[in-house]
Amino acid sequence: MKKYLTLAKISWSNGLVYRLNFVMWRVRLVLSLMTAYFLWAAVFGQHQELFGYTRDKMLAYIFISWVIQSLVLSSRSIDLAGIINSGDLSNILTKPLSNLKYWFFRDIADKTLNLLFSVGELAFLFLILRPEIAVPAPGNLGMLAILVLPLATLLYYFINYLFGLLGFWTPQVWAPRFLLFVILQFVAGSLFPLDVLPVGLQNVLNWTPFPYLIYFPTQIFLGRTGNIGMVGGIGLTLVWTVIFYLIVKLVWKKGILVYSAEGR
Amino acid sequence: MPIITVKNLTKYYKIHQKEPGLWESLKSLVARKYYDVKAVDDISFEIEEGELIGFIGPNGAGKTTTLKVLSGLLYPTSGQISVLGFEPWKRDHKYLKQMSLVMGQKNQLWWDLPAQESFILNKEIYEVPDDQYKKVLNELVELLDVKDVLNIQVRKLSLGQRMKCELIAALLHSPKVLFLDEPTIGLDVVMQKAMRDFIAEYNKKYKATIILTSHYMEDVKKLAKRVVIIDHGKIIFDGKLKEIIDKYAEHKILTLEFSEEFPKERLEKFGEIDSWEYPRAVIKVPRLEASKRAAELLETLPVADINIEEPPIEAIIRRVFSGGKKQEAKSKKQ
Repeated sequence: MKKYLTLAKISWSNGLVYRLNFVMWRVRLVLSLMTAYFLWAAVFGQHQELFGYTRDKMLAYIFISWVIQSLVLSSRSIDLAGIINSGDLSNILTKPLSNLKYWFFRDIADKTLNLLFSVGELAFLFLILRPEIAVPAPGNLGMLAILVLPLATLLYYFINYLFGLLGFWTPQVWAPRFLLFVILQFVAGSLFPLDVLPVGLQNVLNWTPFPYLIYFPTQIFLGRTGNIGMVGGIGLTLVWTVIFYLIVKLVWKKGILVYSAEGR
Repeated sequence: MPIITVKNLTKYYKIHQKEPGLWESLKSLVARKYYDVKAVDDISFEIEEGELIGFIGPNGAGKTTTLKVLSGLLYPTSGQISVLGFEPWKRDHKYLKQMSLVMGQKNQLWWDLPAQESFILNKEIYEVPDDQYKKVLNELVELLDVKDVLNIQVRKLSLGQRMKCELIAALLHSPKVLFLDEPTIGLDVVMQKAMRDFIAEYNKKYKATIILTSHYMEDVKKLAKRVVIIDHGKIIFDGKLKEIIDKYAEHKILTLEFSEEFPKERLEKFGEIDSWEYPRAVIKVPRLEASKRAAELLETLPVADINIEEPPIEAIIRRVFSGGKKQEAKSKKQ
């Protein structure tokens, strides 16, 4: 275990080498929040309620989902495909390391770094946007911290890792990854809460893994788990996490057989 | 008991074939043709503990592929391989902890951080105890003379300094088996020698079993007693360097110095003239007759000095490769 903690530490120092890069990344995130925030503010205009949301509830959703995104979606494992293609995966394979753990801990390092920075931004954004966010019930908060967010993080990690493994078969991994990003924007709940969609579509989406990455955790925070329910949502997150874990294991086993350690 | 045993190892790569042109590109989207490339084709060898072996062969001969299979990166198409009693491709952590692979054109050091950071990470990865880490690191730093560069960002190091640090990173866990793929590539002559001396020293001091591939004959000549020559995925020679000379060199080189000028024709009957520039001449004579011809020369021509040498190993190896190709061409005709 100590080796992975040291890895996270060195990954941290490595991340800090490109300070400007990192700061620009954070600026981008802040801007994207402001865009979504002002867009929704404009949509509401004079209306007090739309799609079953009050103005304040909607803006709180945008705000909280943004915080959850920066935890769940920030990752280093996005480099995995590139490293398979360049042959640098060999550096991990020839060492007593598990590739799955390697990237997980690099992701953790990335996430903590991002979280640390977002604390300051949060205070700043809170001051200028002044969203009205009710403090969630302690039970919900506890569930989020110990179960829902860790599971969402793990689920996204496996999905992301699976896309990285495509690198074993093709160097063209950006197209499928871009598709994933677009899908996430629409069906994970990062642009809008999913319960503004038609009920039929919602029912379908509830069976996919995507709502459990951002939408579901955000709703727990806001205390509106809706028709999935807390237990149902956690159960489905767990099921999808296990399914993706098994797929990842299987695909890795196949991929490693065709790995050709290229680059020479 | 050999440390490395390779029996009938074969490794094929599947290559996707595409004719040039737009139409062919479109066609390849629908139906892809694949063909197999035999990177390594039925090779066998054994290596004893503490041996230092040189793999030589032209580009694409299968040297690197063999090393990659031995270090567990590639899954063999067929054949049995055992290193330290493990099957490498299973990548048992117990095996990986005793093995190291260094590729001259690849780096494992973290590019944006000082080498020291990568060393500390490797210490944890290989679970090297503190005191052993300090001891080994000090020794390696001393041997390679890189004390001053450990705290500099790796990207700012020269190629030579970086290769030295790469070696240290690869050796911190004192591997029993070491695979070096072109460790001296791109280095200047001085740095090449430093690397070579280090590898020899390391082999002696730690009794490590080492396989080395290189384009530079000098590396192999200085380091390896035993040489394996690979071409087109097959082993065409496995034995002592000296045996290659005995087996493949047909000539010896006579370097002569004369005290008087005389017509060139008089020298021609003794052997093939490589260069002739009074008072020096270099001629090639059949190996077995070298001493007899030399005696005759001394008797009949005004020789001031004579020197008999083996041809340079590079020339012999070149002959081995071109000979191999000729044989192949012949067997195709039949």
